[in-house]
Amino acid sequence: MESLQDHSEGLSADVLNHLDRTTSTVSQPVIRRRILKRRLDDLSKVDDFGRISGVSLDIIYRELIRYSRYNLPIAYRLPEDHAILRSLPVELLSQLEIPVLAFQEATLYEIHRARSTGALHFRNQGCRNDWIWVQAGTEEMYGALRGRLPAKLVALLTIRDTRCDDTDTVRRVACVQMLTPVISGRLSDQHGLVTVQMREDARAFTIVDIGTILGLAHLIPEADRRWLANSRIDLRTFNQFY
Amino acid sequence: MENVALHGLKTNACPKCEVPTHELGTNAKNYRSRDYTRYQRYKPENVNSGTVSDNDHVMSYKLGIGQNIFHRRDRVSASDLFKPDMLHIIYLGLFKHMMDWIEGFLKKHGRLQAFNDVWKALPPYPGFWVPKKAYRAVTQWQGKEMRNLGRCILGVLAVALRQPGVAQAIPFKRALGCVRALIDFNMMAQYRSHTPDTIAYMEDYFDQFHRIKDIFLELRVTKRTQAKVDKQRKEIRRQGCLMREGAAPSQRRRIRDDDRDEESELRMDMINAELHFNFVKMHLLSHFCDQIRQFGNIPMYSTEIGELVHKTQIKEGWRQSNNNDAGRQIVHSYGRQHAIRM
Repeated sequence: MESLQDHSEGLSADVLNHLDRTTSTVSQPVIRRRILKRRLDDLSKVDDFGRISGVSLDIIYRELIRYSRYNLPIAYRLPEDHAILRSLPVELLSQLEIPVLAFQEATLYEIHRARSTGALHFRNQGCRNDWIWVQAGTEEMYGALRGRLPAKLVALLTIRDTRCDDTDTVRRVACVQMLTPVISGRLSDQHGLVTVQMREDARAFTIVDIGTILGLAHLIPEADRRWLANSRIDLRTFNQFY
Repeated sequence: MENVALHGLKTNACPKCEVPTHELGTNAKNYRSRDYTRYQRYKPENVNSGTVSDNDHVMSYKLGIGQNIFHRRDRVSASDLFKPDMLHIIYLGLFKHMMDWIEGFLKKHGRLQAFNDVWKALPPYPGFWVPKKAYRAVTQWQGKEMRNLGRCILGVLAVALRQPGVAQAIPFKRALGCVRALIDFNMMAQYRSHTPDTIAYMEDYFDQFHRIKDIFLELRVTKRTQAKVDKQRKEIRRQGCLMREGAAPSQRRRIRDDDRDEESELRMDMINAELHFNFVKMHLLSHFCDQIRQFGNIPMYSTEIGELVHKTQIKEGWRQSNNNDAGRQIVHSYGRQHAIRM
């Protein structure tokens, strides 16, 4: 390439860039995406989701509008009219594959499979709704949790905005029950773990983009509505909380 | 066990340094590295011929030195051949001891049931084996189970020891601190690359563990020590009864209180005299940081892979042999299969 560049005043920059890309021996990092899997068939509209989850439609509409206002650019926001919202096609899924970069690795990913079966059974046993970490703020927030909050996965949805044919976009969202840290997320003096709780006045669920889900969380039940965030579960988590 | 045979060591002798047996349970690190050339001079025949002093001979005897098969090999430093191994030193060594101590501690404070309840309610996580049985119902603790235990024990213990009584607050705090230091040391030892800061953290955790490990000392009571303590206690009580005879009730109460204090003090004295942490796996942790500085990360020298292939390389070979001169047949059998597979 260098010799070619030395003798190639006549070649345009585009050609050189193309040659650089195609002949380079350095492999480009593979960008991993979160993948939604296992579609549940008996759902096609927002109303159906309300029926399956047992949450009132008003709450679902309110949360969808809140998600749209705080997370989406104005041009891509969801309609705020309940009648239009009700007509949008929806898919309910039960598994989210989250690629998590392995500790001290640059290209190696571990796949965390977050499952949310709602009230349905998982492998002939009880229902399964996993704990996940959600990026809920900046690094300065929530003390040792550094901007992350644990949450319970309630549902995984895709919502297709079909109002205009040319802007037919799909929103991949998760309904989660957020937990809040006790004593501002400070590590306990005794055991060095953070205690989290589900407040009595917590919202039924919050809708977040699946891009904000960082991986699975391991919470150890401490008391009613209180858990310990286990930071010794793996090296990556151990290195993140301090 | 292999190291003991290869390095010609007696049990409870460190293969890397000259730490005396009675200091294996301390965090002292500055012992001279083993020098097998020097030990050769301390052999009994040399001592008899008067070439070295008797003190040196006694010293070498105490350190438990035998014949090291790597001695006098070119460019081989026999003391550096031993590599810290997480599977045998931490998982099957210290974690196993720690769980005995924790079990005794929980039993003593009546928290074993709470521990079992939390143990059974652990949620799933990638690579984490969710326990199906109560902790005490698990009969076989191998490397995999111990590694799993290291990932959750701190949280489970923290929940089991929550809301302590007034008298329990300090022992619970110390027990949690001790377990936390050991778990954190284990976590950092698993790093595949280190900086001076991570090594300094490891040293801190190691020192912290040694500072507060005494909380579990009384749980290392052997049956012999327990019998001695019981005998002593009975004697004190018998003497107390004799002294209390004919005394006024208030005086009797005072004597009883004094006896109780004396009994407790004597018990602790006896425990301190008899109990110790002087076993070699406790000491081997002190070489982890030096090992990282000298040779790189610890997982690189893990014996887990070797243990894993025992089944294919040795057990299957043994099964296929006619059990006569089996070693040769095992080697040939594996070599043949490997060649065909290639």
